[in-house]
Amino acid sequence: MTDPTSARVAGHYFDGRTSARRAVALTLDAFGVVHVQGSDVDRFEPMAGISVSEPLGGAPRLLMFRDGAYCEVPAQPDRDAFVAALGHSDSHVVRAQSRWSWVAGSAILLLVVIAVGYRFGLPWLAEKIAERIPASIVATLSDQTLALLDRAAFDPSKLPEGRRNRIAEQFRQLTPPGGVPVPHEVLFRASPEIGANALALPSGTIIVTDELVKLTENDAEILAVLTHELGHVHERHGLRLLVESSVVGFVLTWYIGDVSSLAASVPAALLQARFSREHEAAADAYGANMLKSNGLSPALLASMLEKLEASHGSPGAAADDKSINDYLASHPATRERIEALRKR
Amino acid sequence: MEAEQSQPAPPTPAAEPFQFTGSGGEYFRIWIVNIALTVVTLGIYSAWAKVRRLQYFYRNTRVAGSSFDYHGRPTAILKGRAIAFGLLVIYNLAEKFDFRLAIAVAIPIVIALPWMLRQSLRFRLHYSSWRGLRFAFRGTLSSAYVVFLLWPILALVSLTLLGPMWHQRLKRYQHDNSTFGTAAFRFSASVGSFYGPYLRALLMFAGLAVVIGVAAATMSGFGPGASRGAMIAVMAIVFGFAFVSFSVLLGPYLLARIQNLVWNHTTLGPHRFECRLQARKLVWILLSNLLLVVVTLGLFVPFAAVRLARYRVSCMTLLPAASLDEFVAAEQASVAAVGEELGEFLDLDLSL
Repeated sequence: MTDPTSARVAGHYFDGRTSARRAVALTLDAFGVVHVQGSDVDRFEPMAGISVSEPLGGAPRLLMFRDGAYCEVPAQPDRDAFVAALGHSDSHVVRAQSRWSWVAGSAILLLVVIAVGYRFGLPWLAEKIAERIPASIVATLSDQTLALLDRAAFDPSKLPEGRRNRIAEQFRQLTPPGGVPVPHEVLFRASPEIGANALALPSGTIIVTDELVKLTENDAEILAVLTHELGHVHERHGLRLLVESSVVGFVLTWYIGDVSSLAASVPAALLQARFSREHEAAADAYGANMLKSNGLSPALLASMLEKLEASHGSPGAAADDKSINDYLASHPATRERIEALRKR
Repeated sequence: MEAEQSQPAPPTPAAEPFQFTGSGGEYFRIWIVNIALTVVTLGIYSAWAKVRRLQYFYRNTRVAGSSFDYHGRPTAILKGRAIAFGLLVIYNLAEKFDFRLAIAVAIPIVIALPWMLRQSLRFRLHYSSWRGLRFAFRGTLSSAYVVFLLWPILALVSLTLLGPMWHQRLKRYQHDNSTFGTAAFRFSASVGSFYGPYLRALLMFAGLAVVIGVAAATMSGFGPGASRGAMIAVMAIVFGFAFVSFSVLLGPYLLARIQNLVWNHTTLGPHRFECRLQARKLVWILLSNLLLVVVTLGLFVPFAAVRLARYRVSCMTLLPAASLDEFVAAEQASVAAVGEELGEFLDLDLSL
């Protein structure tokens, strides 16, 4: 520790009223008074009236006086001793920043919090939030989505009304897993743009396209798809994905967005894909359970997945046009799902 | 040493280059501790983190032997953040549930946006200083509505033909209304000069799009009788290219050109500035930063930020016409942080 009376640093003095920059020497006397002395500066200031800026790497430290004047003190051998003699001690955060052990600790803590939060915290939070969204809001949300889809992508179904009613009625006869009824409504739409597909809205509205119905050999296959969609409804996947993707997007933009919003959007898509894969697997499991407990084979759902996959690898494409079809056909997620269902 | 200032100043004072003295390693430690504390405190600490981050960059930016400083108060920023965050959560929820509700929420926000952006400009400058004197922004509210509401509409209606003119009006609003102490900044870049960089960017984009489009079409056997798959592939490549080239090539190109244009036509009292950003270097820095950030899962972010700041600062020079010791402080009012924080959440960068 340097004797306070001998502590001395060089810096520049600014009076806070003009931009004049004055070279000064700062000394601290035995009574705790700082003397700022330069060619046209001569100021005495008790050290209690001086606040010291925190160290920020190679930036100068500022000794700030109450009237707005300050001294800029660049890095120099005696600076730390002088600042200590002023009675200033750095905050815990500053000390953490200057020690590599704390820096490494922060990094590890951060990784753990993020990994646990992403893997367990966010799905849990999404489930809790999804449970608490009032049914009226869910209904409005779903009606809006359906109206939008009807305008943009769907035409009225061309299937005979009897056929549609029969499928819906057969599905109503099935017992859901655990006997827990899930309110739902099955609708049919034609959609050349979307092709063979089925989707579930959070309110329980399940939409099946005519193209999907045409793909099936018997009604049991349609029922298999419906059990999968009912799984999405029961587990509130739509609402959960909404929460999950919003949080992932927000956190990533905050973390990386400073550098590039493009850099943030790519990992966001990848990280969100995990949640939708998990939801698909959960809906498959629900569907398989429901099929089994009603004496139907889960393989029905597996074969439907295969057919759906094949139908989306553009029909009638020539053999030499492989680029896109191959990608879809070898899409690993779907293969895994099909195998998992076959094993059930 | 600098005492005899009442005498006439020397004829041409030396040019004063801006310098950035920060380093990636230093900033990394500040950054990681900031992030860990922000996560642990569920975001509350982010206001303190922001002050520390800005102080690091301001105090490491020097010109004429003195550094800049940032005086924003964390508590004010936290309050601003809480309000801005609340507004955005409400908007996002409304948007997801009912578009009519979303519009009802969005309209007041859009109407208030020019006011908020002006607040943001005021906040940033009022809490920035050099040599102990504060900067300030004195643009009027009515001009804010012209620049931030009327001009975007005009640019949209004119199918972006008036876009560069809007950009000129925006920079003029910012620079013509800024002050340092009692000295005023003045902005003299013409509308015509803003069209040059935009036209060149457009031509470059068109040229590249044709080359990539033809290449993609040739590779996938695009032509009469081509399958739908091949056509989709070509479209996907061309759109992907348009998106990537805009964000990694044309964006930085425009940033460099406009930044140079703006600062080379800005004066502070009798003093002038010079800005010599090179588009090629900026593209390289931003592109390599992007790749390194992705490869390191974001750990490169603080190094990237320092690298970019160092280059941008090193391209600026102050050309003094007289002594820099004679600026005088002006009266200061305090400014609320809501506008600044909302602007940050919406990713509105007014520095371009």
